[in-house]
Amino acid sequence: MRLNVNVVVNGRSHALEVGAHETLSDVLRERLGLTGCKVACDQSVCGACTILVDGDPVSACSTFMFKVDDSKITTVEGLAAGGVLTRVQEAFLQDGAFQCGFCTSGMILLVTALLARDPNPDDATVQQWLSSNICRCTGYNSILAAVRRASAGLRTEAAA
Amino acid sequence: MTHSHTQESDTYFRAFRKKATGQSVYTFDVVLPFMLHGKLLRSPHAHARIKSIDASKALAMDGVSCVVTGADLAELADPYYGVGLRDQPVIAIDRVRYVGDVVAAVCAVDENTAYRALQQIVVDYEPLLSVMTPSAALMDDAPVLFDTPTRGVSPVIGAGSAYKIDPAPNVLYEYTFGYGDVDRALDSAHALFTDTFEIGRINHFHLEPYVNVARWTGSQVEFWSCNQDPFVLRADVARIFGLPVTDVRIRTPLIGGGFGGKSYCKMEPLVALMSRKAGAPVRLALSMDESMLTLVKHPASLTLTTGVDKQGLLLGRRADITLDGGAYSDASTLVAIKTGFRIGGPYRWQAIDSRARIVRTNTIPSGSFRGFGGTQASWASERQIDMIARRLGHDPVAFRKRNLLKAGEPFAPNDRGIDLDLAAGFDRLIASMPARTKGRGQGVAIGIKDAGGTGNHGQALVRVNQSGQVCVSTATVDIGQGAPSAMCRIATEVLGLPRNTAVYASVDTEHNPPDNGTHVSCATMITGLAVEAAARDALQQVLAFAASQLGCTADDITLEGWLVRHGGALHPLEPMIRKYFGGIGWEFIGRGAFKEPYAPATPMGAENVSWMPCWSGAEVEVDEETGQVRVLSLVVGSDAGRALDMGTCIGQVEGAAAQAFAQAMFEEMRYRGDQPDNATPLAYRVPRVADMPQDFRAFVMESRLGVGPGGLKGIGEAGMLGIAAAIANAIEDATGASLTKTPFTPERVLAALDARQAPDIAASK
Amino acid sequence: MLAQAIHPPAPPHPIAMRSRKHISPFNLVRARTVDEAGQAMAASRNARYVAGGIDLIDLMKSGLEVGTIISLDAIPGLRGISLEGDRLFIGALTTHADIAESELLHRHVPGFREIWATVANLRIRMVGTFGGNLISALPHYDAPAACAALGAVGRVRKAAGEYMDAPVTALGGDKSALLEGTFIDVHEPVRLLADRSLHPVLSVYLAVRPTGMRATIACAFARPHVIDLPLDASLAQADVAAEVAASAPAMMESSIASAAYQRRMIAVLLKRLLKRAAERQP
Repeated sequence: MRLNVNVVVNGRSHALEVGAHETLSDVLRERLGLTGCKVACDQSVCGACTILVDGDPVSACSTFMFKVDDSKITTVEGLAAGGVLTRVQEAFLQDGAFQCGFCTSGMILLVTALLARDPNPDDATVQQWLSSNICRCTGYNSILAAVRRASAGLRTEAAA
Repeated sequence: MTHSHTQESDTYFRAFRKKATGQSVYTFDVVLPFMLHGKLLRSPHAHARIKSIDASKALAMDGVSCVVTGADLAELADPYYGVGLRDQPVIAIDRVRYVGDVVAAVCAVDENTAYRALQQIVVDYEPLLSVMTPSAALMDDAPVLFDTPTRGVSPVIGAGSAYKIDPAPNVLYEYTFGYGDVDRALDSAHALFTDTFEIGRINHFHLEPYVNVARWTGSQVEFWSCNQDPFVLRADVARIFGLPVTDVRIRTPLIGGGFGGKSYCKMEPLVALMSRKAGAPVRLALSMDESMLTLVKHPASLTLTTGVDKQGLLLGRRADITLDGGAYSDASTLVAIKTGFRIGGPYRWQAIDSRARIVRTNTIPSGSFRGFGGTQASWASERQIDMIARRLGHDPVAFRKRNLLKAGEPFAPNDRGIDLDLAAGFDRLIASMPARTKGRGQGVAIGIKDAGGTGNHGQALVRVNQSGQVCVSTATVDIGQGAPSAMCRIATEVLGLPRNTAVYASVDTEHNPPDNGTHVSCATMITGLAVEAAARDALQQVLAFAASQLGCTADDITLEGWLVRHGGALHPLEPMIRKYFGGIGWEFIGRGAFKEPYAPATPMGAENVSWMPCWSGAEVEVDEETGQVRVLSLVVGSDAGRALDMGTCIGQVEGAAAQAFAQAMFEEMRYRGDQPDNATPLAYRVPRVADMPQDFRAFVMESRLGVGPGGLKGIGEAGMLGIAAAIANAIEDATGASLTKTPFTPERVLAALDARQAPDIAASK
Repeated sequence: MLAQAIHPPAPPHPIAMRSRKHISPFNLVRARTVDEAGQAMAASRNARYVAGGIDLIDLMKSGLEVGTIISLDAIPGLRGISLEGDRLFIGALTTHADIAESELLHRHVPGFREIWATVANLRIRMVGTFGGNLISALPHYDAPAACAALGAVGRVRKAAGEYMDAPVTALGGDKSALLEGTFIDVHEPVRLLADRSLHPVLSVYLAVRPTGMRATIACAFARPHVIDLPLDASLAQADVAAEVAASAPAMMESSIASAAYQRRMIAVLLKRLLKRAAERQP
């Protein structure tokens, strides 16, 4: 069955005709060319495909397109508007918070959603959020450091 | 502990930036025009004969282009692959040997169609008895996995080492290594200890699954591949298809994690066969479930008999090592060699006598995994060293120090000496451990392995253009380890140019010079030496050109940035080059190479290029009612020789340590009967943030004694080696419970706690 | 410790063909009312309700073909937590994240919110629903165990259109039944304790009311094993726990934990919960 789905992806509106069974990850990657959305476990376990739907982190691999009709979607490609990196992206670079990079889009979006809710999360909250996504390369120290750096940056910004 | 990358320091900021903005291109992202999609049908039987395959219904479906089965292998020059020993058919021919073995491959317009077509293929199997463990496989009446002798040859080894291929039914390979008179050493011992250790099966769980795209043009085949060894793969594909290597082209985009899982030939020849039969480009992206059925790390059982004298000096060790190779060879020969060779650990011995056997079972093939036998050897060795010290009433730290090899001492006869100060790193580890707290236990371990491979070589091109911009070209792939960044840094250091002037060429066997593959922690060291030589060559060319233009000799001038100093005068190079060569300019193309020569008098057949330590320390707390272990502190250190980028080195050590930590604590691929029990991402547990110790730190020493540029050496595998032993040693320190099998599940820990109490109960009766 | 399932679905056949690319096309009905959803169910062959879809999508990735998916997302009133008299109503479409953030739930059933903040992972908590968890009722799922301890009942619309209240442990199985939500009796104070430290090998839930306690043991059984305990049980923690463990029915063996270990852990975890209950610890 074909359906019409309206979504705003990274600020741009799309009226798409899709199969009811198509997932968000495949439409982003194969229709819209947004290959920053990586699919790894295909089971909502690893978080590599994490994207933001109305600001919430969602597993794109396990989300039917019809579920996101009339939603605002942010992918990693939508973060650095005009080529200026966000605080979170900048912090990931500064702390070397990735190696192979396959989990990075999802991690960055997850942290973006966390800091949008709570610019100054305590350690327990950070741990709870970040435990949702898997990085097989780093051992997580550098990612945690990046979250602290980005959150400190936001605090400084807010104070200024 | 993290070390900041600063913007100016990092040439590769551009590459890193792409990873942070979603612009990096992985093989997973490669799309070709008119590309078809492949999917694989896998055996539900652990061991069975294939009586027939009927694909007619699948072929009749709309959108299905072709089905490849074992019958298609007849057209290949050699349908088998494997490292040294080749026993794995490109696709099952007449028999399947594990649940997950590939029996048929469909090419279709999209993956959905391919999946539906797979379900239309009817395979008639005649189930055979299976052997799921080495002990079952070694029984007298065990079913035998292979009826014919194994094809191929053993990898190179040297003096003190020996091997047998197919020494017994279901035994693929036996490696023996030794020196000294072990009987005499053990006979003369004041105390003798025999203990058996086991280590479980784990999967690489790289996030980017195995993915390849193949395309034929005439008789030439090209790949976009996630394989970490492009030139090794090129040679395998060429042999299998009977092609000159120049007719096989491998491009390697970014790789989304490998950890050994993407080394050596795997399903790539099958993708080429599918593409050839379909007459179109074919992409085969495995799911993660399939990745988990493709390769695992060798489970092992290691029995060590170790003799110690009155003073607590180690005398001799006999090791009997059984590695579960799974259904096919893959890199098992190399893992047997490395496990057997490394079993002595970082200590001085009078004699060693080890035997490592690869036993075939009807399980997922075992192959290379970060550390390559070193993890198995270090686990058993460092656990036993600790147990011996405690049994003798010695302090485990002092006991180790008494026996530790010194810098320059050979690990084994005729081998290269130890290129670091093992005691200094050990002292640093001890100093880094938290203060003792009541109710907690602490344990340490010193893992060690050789690194850099056997007789490896690398070649490099360093191209410098008229503007002083540098392009470094090698076969080292970017798998997240930061090697491209290191290569550019090595080149620009030689040239005296700012780091951000260099870019790293994408890897393509048609353009880049070869190496042995991006594994065994050899890239920065071996290919790095080639890059250093190539940069020197380019520099000489620049100076020679400038000298010819300035009417002097090269000795009279030096390069300062992209200016030439001649006496007191500075001459900009770019106008000089454009004046001579015209508008397009010119490239100075430096060539460099490094080859570690073969040396038959050494145990490995070549001197080991470097030594890689893993100083490990853990502090634990044990819940004695449930058996749950909480690791409160985990400290891990290694030696980079010279750290080109400290943050990157720390990241490598921490990342490896996290994998080893998980293998020690909970990670395991389990079988229930002959079926994998948890081969899905949901059921197979890998570490998350919440699993990691609150206090998790790494340190990296810089001995400057490595053979690589500036004394550097590889560090990628280091963090794996000592972790499991350190944690088990800490558990014993805390509770007296002795763990000899990974992972330390609560139930196993509870059993060890119970066993500890048993002698007391007996004594009280 | 993080939740990871040890009970994978039945061995997939064929092997390793789970993929989002394996999902077959289906018809979609976006129901606006419960009755409309029920009518769509009655009118369709091989239809399934879907809310969060966590489990259904995974099954479809493994090749489960579904003729019609009836999306419940647009039905008002199914998401949220409210007080109806002296019963707390948790709508079936309430997400795990909603539960972890609910003040009302926290006020009436202290302990619930904290437990739910660690269920599954954040992405699943944001999408996965309480009702879906009850209906899927995999052995290691938390909602059936928590609800059984609380004695909750589910309101279900049956295929014929009639409504009935059923104990949560009786839910699941009937694919044509639609769960509207769950009622928890809060006419007397109740708090919820759980020890999930051995999840997914074993979890123990304990609901404490002035009139008595009820424990459920999850993971080790196909359905939570329920034990009613008198309030004074907490005074003889070790004895009661040992007795419960000894009388527990045969457990499912898993490849990471034997039945003997599970039985022993029932005693340990239950003893700890009873101690917490006695000491009024959270």
